[in-house]
Amino acid sequence: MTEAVADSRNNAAVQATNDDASASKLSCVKKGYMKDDYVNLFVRRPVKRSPIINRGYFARWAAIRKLLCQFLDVEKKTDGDAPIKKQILSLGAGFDTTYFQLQDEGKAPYLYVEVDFKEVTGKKAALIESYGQLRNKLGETATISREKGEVVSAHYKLVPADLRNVQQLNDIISVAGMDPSLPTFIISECVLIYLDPDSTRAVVGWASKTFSTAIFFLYEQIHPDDAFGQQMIRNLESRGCALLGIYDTPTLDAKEKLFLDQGWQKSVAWDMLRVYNDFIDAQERRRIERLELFDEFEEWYMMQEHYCVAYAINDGMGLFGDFGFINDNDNVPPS
Amino acid sequence: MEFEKRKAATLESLSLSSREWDKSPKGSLDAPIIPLINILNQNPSYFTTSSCSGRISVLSQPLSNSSNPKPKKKARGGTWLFVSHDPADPDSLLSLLFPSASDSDSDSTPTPTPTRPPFVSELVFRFEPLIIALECRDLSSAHSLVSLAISCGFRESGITNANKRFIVSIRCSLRLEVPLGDTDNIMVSPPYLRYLVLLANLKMDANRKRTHTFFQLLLSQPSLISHNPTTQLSHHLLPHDESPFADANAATSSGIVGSPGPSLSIDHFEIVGEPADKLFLWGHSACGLGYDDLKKVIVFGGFGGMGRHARRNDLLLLDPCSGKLDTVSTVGCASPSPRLGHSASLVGNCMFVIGGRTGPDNILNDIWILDTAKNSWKLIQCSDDVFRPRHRHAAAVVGSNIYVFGGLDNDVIFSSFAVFDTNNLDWKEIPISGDWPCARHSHSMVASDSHIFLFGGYNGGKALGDLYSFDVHKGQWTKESTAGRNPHARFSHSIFVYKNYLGVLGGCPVRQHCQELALLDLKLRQWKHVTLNSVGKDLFVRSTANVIRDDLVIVGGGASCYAFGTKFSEPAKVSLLHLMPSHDELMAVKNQRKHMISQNEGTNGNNIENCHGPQLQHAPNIYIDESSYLNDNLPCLNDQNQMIPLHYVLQLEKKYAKLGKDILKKFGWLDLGRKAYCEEGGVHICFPVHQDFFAVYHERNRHSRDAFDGKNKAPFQKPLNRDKLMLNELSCSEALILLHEYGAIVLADKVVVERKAAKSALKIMTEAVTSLIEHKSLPTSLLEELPTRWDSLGDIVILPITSFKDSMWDSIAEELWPIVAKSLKAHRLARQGPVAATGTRDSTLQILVGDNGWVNHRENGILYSFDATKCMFSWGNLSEKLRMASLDCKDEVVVDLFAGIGYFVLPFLVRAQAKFVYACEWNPHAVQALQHNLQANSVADRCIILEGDNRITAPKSVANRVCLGLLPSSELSWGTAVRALRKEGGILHVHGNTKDSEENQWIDHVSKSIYEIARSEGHCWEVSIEHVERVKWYAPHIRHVVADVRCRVAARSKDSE
Ligand SMILES: C[S@@+](CC[C@H](N)C(=O)[O-])C[C@H]1O[C@@H](n2cnc3c(N)ncnc32)[C@H](O)[C@@H]1O
Repeated sequence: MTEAVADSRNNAAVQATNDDASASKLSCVKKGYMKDDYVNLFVRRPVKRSPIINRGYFARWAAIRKLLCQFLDVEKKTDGDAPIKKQILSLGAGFDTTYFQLQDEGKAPYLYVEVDFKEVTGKKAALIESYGQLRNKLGETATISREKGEVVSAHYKLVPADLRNVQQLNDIISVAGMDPSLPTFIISECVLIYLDPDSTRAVVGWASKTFSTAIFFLYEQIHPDDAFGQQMIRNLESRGCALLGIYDTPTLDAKEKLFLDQGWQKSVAWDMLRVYNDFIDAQERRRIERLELFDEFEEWYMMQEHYCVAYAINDGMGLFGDFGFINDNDNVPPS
Repeated sequence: MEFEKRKAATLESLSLSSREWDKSPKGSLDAPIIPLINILNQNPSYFTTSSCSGRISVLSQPLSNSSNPKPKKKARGGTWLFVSHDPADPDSLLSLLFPSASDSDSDSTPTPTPTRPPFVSELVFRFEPLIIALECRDLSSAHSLVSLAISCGFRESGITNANKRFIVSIRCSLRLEVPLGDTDNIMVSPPYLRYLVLLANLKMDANRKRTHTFFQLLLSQPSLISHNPTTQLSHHLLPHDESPFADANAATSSGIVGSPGPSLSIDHFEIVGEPADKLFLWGHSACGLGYDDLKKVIVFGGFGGMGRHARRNDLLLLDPCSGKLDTVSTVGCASPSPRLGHSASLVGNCMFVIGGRTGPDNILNDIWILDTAKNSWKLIQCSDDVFRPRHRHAAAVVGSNIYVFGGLDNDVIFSSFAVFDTNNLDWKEIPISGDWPCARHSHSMVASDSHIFLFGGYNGGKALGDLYSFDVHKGQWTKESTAGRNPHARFSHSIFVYKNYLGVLGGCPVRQHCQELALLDLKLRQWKHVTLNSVGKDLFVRSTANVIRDDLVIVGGGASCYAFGTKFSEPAKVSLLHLMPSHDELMAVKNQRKHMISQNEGTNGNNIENCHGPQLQHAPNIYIDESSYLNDNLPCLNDQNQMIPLHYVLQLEKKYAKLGKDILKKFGWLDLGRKAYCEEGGVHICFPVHQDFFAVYHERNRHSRDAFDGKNKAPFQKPLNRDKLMLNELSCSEALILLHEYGAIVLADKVVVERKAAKSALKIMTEAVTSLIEHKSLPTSLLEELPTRWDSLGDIVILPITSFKDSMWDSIAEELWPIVAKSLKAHRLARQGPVAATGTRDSTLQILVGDNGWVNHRENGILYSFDATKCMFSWGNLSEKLRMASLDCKDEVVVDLFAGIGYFVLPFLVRAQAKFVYACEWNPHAVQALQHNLQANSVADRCIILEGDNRITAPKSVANRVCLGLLPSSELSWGTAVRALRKEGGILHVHGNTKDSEENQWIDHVSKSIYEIARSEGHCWEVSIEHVERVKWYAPHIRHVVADVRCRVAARSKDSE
């Protein structure tokens, strides 16, 4: 078997994880975990997921949403007049619908760029083209090309690229018209872990060098070595989408180090257990915990221990002093 | 400035000049804590900013704001006359403060010490403990350090948050501050000063011990220390050999905190008898049953098991010595519904199963009693206003009471504590008092003497790590304060008592403690932690742990790992013997027991508790001299192989029965779980007694024999005033003497033995077959071919193909098979047939007893009937059948090229709702079964059977989905499959066997071949592998896999790479 064939089969399996993600998000939306008027357009065959999977996707969604909003809400303290232009770059965006949701909420940034394999962006472009709800969000000037897997509009760009190719990464900047000096939020939700460690480091390093004021958000698996982790690895391997990167960054420390080693100024990694308990709004937690009968406390804990959120900060403009996990939930005991 | 940068700067100045680094008033680093400081600084999350190891000092503070000349050593607002970081020498301090009084040699001129200020200052004598200030990377690292420090006694440690920096200070309340007067007029006497120094030295010592504990814990805490490889660089900072704690170490009582005991290894059982899968459970219960050498673990309920995982109500008996697993078949028709999250407690011979969850919204409060002697279940009716339905509660037994705390019922988490009296069979709620544990579920409890320990649990939001004990006599909960590092908070763990240790194992979250066993020394109330080898691969979550002699027997545990499949832990055991410092301790325990018994002689009734019988929960505490079994007067143990727990009765003449029974009752020797019975037409009455009594009584006998020259007849006179004898005043040993006098003897309980014996099918078969071959004068070596395990299919018991192989067996077949069938209680008996010619390893059955091989098998709501002598049933396909069943095929036409008896046809029709299925099959027996099955499952109208070679019979261009379930390969029909698909493509489920190392090639081969075939059929299809399902291991390194091959029309402008 030639490597190219193996690679393309692996790619296909990894691309398929995207369908999985969208289907699970839809399952959550249908159960009332969160609102997303668009994800249903991207799912061919809706499925009902178990409560624990729904809860897991909610936690993932809530964590990224909260950090993303912190980023979008950041204002420069000194000059209050003009709001700062901001960018979001979503790597391996799949069929993510955040842009359309932010539009509805009036929160969309100056520029939102999504990147994925051409196979995926092609499909996404086609879907955007065929659904008015989506197309209309892009404005008059939008051009959509299924063949090229590209969508170009004033504030939203969808571009094909293989993240393992740094040249293609650089091309994103020019193709999508990004301004490296603007505050940028980079999303990598279950993406880098599928790349080989060298490529992951290259992406992280490239992002640090390119954007001087930026947040790099990462959500992915950790701890491949215990019983649960082994089960996870085995399962994903059998589906043809091995977590190529997990042994290189198997712990929270390693995730933090990944960023620091690649030149980021600061990085923080928490497992989802902690993110869920200490970061996600308590009220929201209470709301969703009532949505479904739930007895999988153990599974829930284990699963949350095996996913993490890591973020790294480059704060060239000094915007992100208050950004991150520390919130008012933390009360420091008197000493 | 970033944490890293601040840390780097601080550490740099440390290496430049350790003097300048420390910002404490005194200006240099205290030698005794250099290793501690180093280890803290090695951690990427911390760096120290100031420290003091603890000191005894005399400070002089100016009384007024006079302009002082700058002293060399400066304390805030004063100077030190005396500072020591070690215990102080009282004499040198006396000579300092009372130069004339103490220094008798030199009364020449009272030369003032150079440090003594020439003006009037207030003098203060002080002891101050260790204090360390550090900056931490984040709140969580600060928290963990503070809690560690607090657990070592630095209770005043805390966090301050200054400018988003997390500053921790570590300190405690060991302090002493006494004003002594002023430089002109010292107002205390030399003896008093001596006393102060003594006090301070004691505190200094305590401070050192705490510091040492802290240091040790830091060392033994892998999560806190050196998790960052870069810190290895600074290891040389730590002078291991010159640890100033060497002496402090000797001072602490040996082997307690910090010195992590030996690591223990986990051994997995080789399970024989029933398949080990039966123990793949979680949320089940387990009790230690029987006695000592014969003790087994009885497992009930739980989730998991053989085949499709489900809630269970099986009763399983595991012998931890031999690994033999038996299913206990109960008599009578009543039995509890399948459940998990219940509790089971053994009182006497009865196991009480309380509550549990039998369905997602069906939470129970029923109580079932299993009489382990009779093997029968009984449901107890009791008013349920006290005890509400619940699962995930915890129970512990003291005496005849079962105490139950907490639990969960849908959204309600309980904090109620109820006691079930097994004599009256009623519940009582225990009123709230003392330190009441908060509401929780998934915690654990265990009893030790009259105390019940409760640890951990889940309060709905967080895992808990608190330890409580309930004193049954006082009726009060106490929150335990313990020394050493507390075990991590957790739930769904298990706890146990072994000797004087309380152990905590497993639980959730799994990351923090999967490698360790936490042990609380109940005497010292101190935690220690033992590493468990190999446990990383086990998931001890909702597992059970029972102490059987010196082994911890761990059964089940596991979880469904998110969307990644289910993981069960194999049954395992850990030898706890190594926890004991040496073998001497065992001896001590043994002697203690003997001592305990003899101590009771001559004491009065109030001390009786000691020889109170049966708390099987801590039976391992009771050591009985094995030699006592070797007495001919007493029932002998059956040979080791007969794994029947012994039950004893005390046989008494009828006239003594009443008094005897009262005595047995009073001392708790009477086993309430069994019935008394008469013998010899009522001359004797046999009272069931606990195993413990056996030992106690025998011990008594031996003592009296020793004392009286081994004569069997006791030369005691019967008490004269028997009527006046007050039972209340009878001591334990007097009672034993009395019973002895009455001629009471301990015997095996015949009723139980007989009944139990009927259970061991293997034994019966062995005996029966042995006598048969002896009778036929066949060689006994044939017995090696007896099976030790067998399967069953419907009511057919299936012997393995390896059994009864020798042709000599055939000569006695006529007698043999009925005997085997009878001993295995089988209506029909069969043997796995020779491997079928198809090249698969599946085989049909050969019926040995019974007139046909038709069986019904129900699975996933589908009924399969087939003649097992003609068709085979593939058990290994279960997961694949379920996968097909879970598809949604409402609008699909499916072609199954290898339909068999309908393995996949039926799931497609019954569960996946396929619109229509074409079923190809060429084995007429299978076709016959398939026809039957389609009818039986009422789906015949949606299926057509195409009998014959599918390459001829299969339809063309109709299918959305084609199933190719043939092993080892379905390749010969791939063309047929492609032709069966519609023009626009569809999905193929291609089964095959492949070497695990060549799986990728296989998948590749499948996709390429299908692509080529499609092309040659004139389709321009995109062929992709959507999923590869690993069904099962078929042979070592060979796996049965299924590739889901998606074929779809390629986009017109195909952008191929
Ligand atoms: C699990 S999905 C996640 C999709 C999306 N981020 C979400 O969370 O819903 C992974 C995505 O990463 C994309 N991906 C993986 N490797 C990639 C690569 N080398 N270049 C571009 N995209 C890649 C896949 O195509 C897929 O859409």
